[in-house]
Amino acid sequence: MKREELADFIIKNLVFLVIFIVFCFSITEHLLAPKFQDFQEEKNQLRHAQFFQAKTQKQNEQIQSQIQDLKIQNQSHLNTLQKKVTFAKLQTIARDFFSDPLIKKEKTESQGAFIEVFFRIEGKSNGTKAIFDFMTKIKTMIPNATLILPLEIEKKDPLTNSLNISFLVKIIQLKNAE
Amino acid sequence: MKFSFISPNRKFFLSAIAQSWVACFIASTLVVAMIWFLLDWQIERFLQYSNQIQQQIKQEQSHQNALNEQLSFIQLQIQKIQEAQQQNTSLTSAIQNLFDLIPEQITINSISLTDQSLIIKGITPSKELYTFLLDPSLKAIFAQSRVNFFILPSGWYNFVSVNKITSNSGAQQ
Repeated sequence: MKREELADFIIKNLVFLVIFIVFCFSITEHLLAPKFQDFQEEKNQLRHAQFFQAKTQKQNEQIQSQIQDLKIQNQSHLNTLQKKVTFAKLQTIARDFFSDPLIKKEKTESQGAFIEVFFRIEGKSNGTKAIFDFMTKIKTMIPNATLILPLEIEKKDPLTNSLNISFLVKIIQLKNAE
Repeated sequence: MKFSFISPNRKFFLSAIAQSWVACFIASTLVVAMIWFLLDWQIERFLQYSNQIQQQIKQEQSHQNALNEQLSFIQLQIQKIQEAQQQNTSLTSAIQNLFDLIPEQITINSISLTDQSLIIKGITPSKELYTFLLDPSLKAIFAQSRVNFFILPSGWYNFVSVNKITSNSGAQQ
């Protein structure tokens, strides 16, 4: 009898064991495995998103730093674009090099965010050197100013060195210059 | 009438072995369910956090666009000033070189310089002086160059020199 009971015990346990293994395998494959895969995917996506956010932040910091550097290195030049150049300022500079300088605003042209103001400068000097000295002075005081043709030089009195000089100066400014 | 000398034993629906195994099945099912819900909850958290980060990324990208615009504008301003200074340097240098071409013996009464032409009026002691000293230099620079001479009572010559960058049909004197 004992032998039969033992055999019965072993066989029943084996059967249950097999069923248990199949059961565990099934629920692991059909329930846990896909869920775990979803978990991994979401975790990877989150990691990528965090990496991308950190990268974007770093890029923004670099661009901000670049902007600051440019502003510091070119502060005076950038400031000149934001300030309107007045007749008085040009007159003051021109008086150092020409006699009776006459400044006239010829025209204003719009170029996107910038405007170009053209001034005609007429005056008298004792030689052509005054033109170059004037432009050298303009370069330092108004770096956004450019000498523009036509340039006209005329000697009215052949007995003297006095020249009548006329030329254009173009000044670039921002539209919202003050 | 009794058919047995002993009283009947109680019999359960499931044997002891079966009860043990059923308990095993239930326990493992509970463990699996717990793991499943844990994973599900974590996935939800990941999704929420992901959405927050996506929002922040959008804000950062929008900020980056604004910064890039600002950077481009500053670079454009710097470029404009550099162009202005370069133009100044080139033009003053060209004008200086032009004045340097004129020999001392020739007196200039007027110069009119435009983007396309140069007109010089002056006085020269002789036509040959102009032809040998000034004319070759002007012809080297301008596509078209012609000069007219007008004799003065003193024997010197008034001249009008017209020089153009683009060549047109015309007689050259």
